[in-house]
Amino acid sequence: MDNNQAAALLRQAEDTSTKARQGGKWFATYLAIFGIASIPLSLLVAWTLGRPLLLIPIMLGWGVLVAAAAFWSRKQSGALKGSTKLSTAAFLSWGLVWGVTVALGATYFADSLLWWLGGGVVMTVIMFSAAAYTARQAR
Amino acid sequence: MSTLATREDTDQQPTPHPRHQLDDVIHAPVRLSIMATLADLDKAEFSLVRDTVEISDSVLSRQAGALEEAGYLHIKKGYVGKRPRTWYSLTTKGRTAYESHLEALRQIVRQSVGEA
Repeated sequence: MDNNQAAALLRQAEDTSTKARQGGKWFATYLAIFGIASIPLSLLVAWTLGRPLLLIPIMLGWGVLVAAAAFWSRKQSGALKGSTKLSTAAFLSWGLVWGVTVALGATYFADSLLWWLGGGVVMTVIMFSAAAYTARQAR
Repeated sequence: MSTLATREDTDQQPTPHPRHQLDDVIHAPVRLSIMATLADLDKAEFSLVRDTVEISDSVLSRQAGALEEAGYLHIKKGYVGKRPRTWYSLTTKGRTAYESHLEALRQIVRQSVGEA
């Protein structure tokens, strides 16, 4: 094997890897969807405080979104290296912020728009950061 | 005396050409492409590998089987709904072998550049 053949094989391997990484791009969209939905979710839950019946359709809507995203993700054909760990870290962080936002918000900040908006923004930033990392990785 | 002779013999041995470090299993272009497809992925479905490498179903099945036999590839079969799916992922041994193979190719390129 000479220099040219080795260089051609290296190029072939790099090109193939780049092309394959495109197959994992969907995961950035998946994370971004949850980021986009976080602020409305937070504000809507704040709005329903003291009106538990209104919470039911909102939670049902959230459930539908989660189910649709899960269904869509199962249909995808590639998962970028480390995407499971990234997903776990992002959703655990999101869940933690969500828990704190709701627990403290319902108890102390029920009427504070800033509190609920802030919680939603933090959740959005978490998911958008993970989405941006994935999009960079998929390039 | 004998220790000195052995050391001299060792010193006189030329450095083996990096082509000797190439992995015979991965060296075939299609198998190299399959490994390259999976290198940056945790897992990939059959159709993604097939379309990325641009080969037929039967060629992919055969070459994937050879990589699995070498311990480089993990093949998982399952269902999404009622549709059967096959997922491929590199084993730790496969990732190490692929990286070593690429490094050997880089050394060949570097060595040739150095000789020029």
